[in-house]
Amino acid sequence: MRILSFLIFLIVLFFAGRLADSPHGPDFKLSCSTCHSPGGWHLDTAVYSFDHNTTKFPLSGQHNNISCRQCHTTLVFSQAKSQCVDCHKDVHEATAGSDCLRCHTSVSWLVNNINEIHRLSRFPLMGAHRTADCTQCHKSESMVRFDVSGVNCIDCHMREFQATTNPNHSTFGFSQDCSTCHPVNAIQWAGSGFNHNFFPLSKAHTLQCIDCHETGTYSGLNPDCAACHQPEYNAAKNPDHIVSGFPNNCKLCHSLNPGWKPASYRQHDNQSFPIYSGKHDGEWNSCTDCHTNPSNYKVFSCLNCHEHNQASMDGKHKGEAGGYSYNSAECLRCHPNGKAD
Amino acid sequence: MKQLVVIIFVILIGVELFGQSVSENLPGQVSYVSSQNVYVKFKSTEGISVGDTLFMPSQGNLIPALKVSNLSSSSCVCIPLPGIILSASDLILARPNSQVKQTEAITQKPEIKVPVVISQTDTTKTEESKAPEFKQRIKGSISAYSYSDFSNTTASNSQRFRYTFSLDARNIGNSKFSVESYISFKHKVGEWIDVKENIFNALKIYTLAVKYDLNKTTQISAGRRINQRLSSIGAMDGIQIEKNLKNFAMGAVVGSRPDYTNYGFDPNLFQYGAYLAYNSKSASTFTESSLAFMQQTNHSNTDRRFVYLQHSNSLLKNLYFFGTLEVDLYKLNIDTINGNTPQNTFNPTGVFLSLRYKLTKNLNVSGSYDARKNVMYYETFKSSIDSAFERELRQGFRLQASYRITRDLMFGIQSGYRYLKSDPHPSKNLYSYLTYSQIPGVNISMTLSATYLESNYMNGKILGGNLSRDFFQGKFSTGMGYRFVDYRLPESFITIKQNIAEMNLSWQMAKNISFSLNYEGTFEQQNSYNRFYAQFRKRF
Repeated sequence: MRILSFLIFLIVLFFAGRLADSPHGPDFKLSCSTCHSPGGWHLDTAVYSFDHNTTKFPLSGQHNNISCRQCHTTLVFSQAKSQCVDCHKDVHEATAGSDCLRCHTSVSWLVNNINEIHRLSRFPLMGAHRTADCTQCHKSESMVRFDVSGVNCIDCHMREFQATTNPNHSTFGFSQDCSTCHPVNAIQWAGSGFNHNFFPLSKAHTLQCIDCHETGTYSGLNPDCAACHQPEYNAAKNPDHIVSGFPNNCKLCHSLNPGWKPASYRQHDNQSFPIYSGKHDGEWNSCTDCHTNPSNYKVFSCLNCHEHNQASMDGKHKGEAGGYSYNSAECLRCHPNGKAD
Repeated sequence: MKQLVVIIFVILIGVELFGQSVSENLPGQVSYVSSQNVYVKFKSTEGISVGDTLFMPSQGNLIPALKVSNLSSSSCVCIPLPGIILSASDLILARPNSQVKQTEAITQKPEIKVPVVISQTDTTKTEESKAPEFKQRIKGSISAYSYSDFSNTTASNSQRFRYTFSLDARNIGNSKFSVESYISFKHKVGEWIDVKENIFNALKIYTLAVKYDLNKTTQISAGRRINQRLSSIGAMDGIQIEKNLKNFAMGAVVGSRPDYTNYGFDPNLFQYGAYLAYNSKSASTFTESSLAFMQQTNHSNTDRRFVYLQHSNSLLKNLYFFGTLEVDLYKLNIDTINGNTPQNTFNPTGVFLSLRYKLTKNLNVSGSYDARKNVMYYETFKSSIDSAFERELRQGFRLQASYRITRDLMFGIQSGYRYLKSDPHPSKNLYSYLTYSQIPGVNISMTLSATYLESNYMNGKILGGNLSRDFFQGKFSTGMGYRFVDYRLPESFITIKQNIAEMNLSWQMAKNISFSLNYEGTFEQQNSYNRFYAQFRKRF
């Protein structure tokens, strides 16, 4: 029996020796000499010539410097896992996705592209947001969890909104979109951090707050010109804005220059008759060239400039269909573009 | 019968050593010379023993040159005798022992005739066979980070420091005990009072646990630990146990979650849960799935109850899929008049799906979708339950493609879309790049990039270029870049142009010591912002 056991032992050893030539798995195809020398089966760094860049996981950064065993926990190299989370624990609690390379590099865990990350997110960093600590916005007890953040100003700045007293934002019902007055690239809330560009305070509008916000009301003010300038509109006599039916949107004719001058009325081309384009462009100096009655701009005359003779015009238009009459209104009716044809 | 055994044995060995022959002087050749050893390759080392002397021919004589210290079936590891200098390919001669002696040796010590190759391997195998059940493996690192931000604006400059300690000591002293930790300490210059007020404002312990291997398939841990199968839960204080059965793993956790204000220890936040995982792998495919259930409480009241499913696979060649799904099972209906009522629910709070596919050798595409709500802890965050955006679903898509035009030229494009219901506008971006690796002659890599983005309050275009180069076989790497940024803030009628300079360097000071430094300067018409970030890291 002992002999038989010995025989079996020998046979097993023989075949085991044949079958166990490679501990690297059945699909391993590299030559032994890629890693080993005749000195033994340990890795001989002097002869090691395997190019890891030919695998699905090219080595870069710190991965070049770690022990092979940290990833290849068994000698079957193909069993090594290749996802970040297989080796690196996720302290972000799955709030930053599974691809570490979106923020980190293989060289360092240092996040050196904070601005780039934010450009590709919902909130590019500018102004004071650029100098803030990450944890001022990404608040979490672990400091590294990135919960879904609101990107509306008030999501983070409710405390400032409620604490402001001059003027009192809550009392006066200010918009909770801070960027209306405080641009997102501002460094401070007041001074250069205040932006009234939605209603530029320049030229004739270089005013004190109280000039418009007379009652201390900072919201709901009507930004239309007439809200402040209706009296001037009503009083205008040259031309008489009311009689002439001018719109009370001052911006259509006036700039922010003080004194309401110069003024233009470019809508004239579309609304009535082309004087800023076509044949009449540059042919007039003053509104009163045509509008002979300054108190009523509905009245106009073509004949002040066009020195026609009625007899000759009558003859020229004789026999034309559509009727003809020698007066300015009829001139306009047939020549709406100011052309002879 | 005894004779039969000897005959069979000799036959076996004979087959094993088939083709080998023994001669008076066995020729060999130096295959490799190391600082201590000379390796000599023979057709066969039959007849050569450890301690034998090998010779080199010189002017018709044989001069003793090497002493055999180890050998395999075809090679000898030798120690050169004093004064002997050899190089690869040099001829070496051995004087093998007689066949009789070999037979004697075989008969007396049959075990040494086991057809394994190198005696060092024998040693290794012996060691392995005698190796402890658990083998010690220790790794870790200490790091120091510095974050400096300063500008010419009225915003205060800041200097922050962060230190981290990471340790993964498995089976210490080949025992069943392991320790793992990951701890960070962060503080800002001038704000030390925050640290003095509460050390946990600065000290964050993500992992500090002792693990014990009950056996090869069962582990139990105590302390604070992040469980990779429950990564969305984060660190857990308490006991965790896992049992592996072939392709399956099952585990349970019981303890508490960290304090929700400072990440300290809070036993009032009791929680427990269990998970089941399944892994399978073939030569070219794999699947990994896990399903977890968790119940979290605050002062014994249910705070949150949910299930978490994670799955990844590579069922097709060159395809990788990863997905997670988190579903809340508990809801507390807030009613200040009649009292709150708990309710079972099935409310997905987080979905993440990603797919990566290598279409051809040179073309890779990937895409991901994620939809996430902030977690609602009904007992813990009662005060903020009404915060609208905290309950909203933020959705995002991300698509990427890269194409290797030539060996060194790569083009890539990436687009993203993110939207939260309360956002005024969806955020969109489109990023493309062209990279030329290793420009001939200068070995510099160059990347040109362009970005277009639309966010809630601004639109922007960014053009950039970046150069990088490695020195000293990659031990020292440098890079520099420039970006031109054109932002428009339509709501504020503002246009912002920025010139951004970037520089970075990394230095592998030693195998386990690295240093990296990054600079970014942003220059606007009036304002400029500068940022220096540095890291020093020592691994062990």
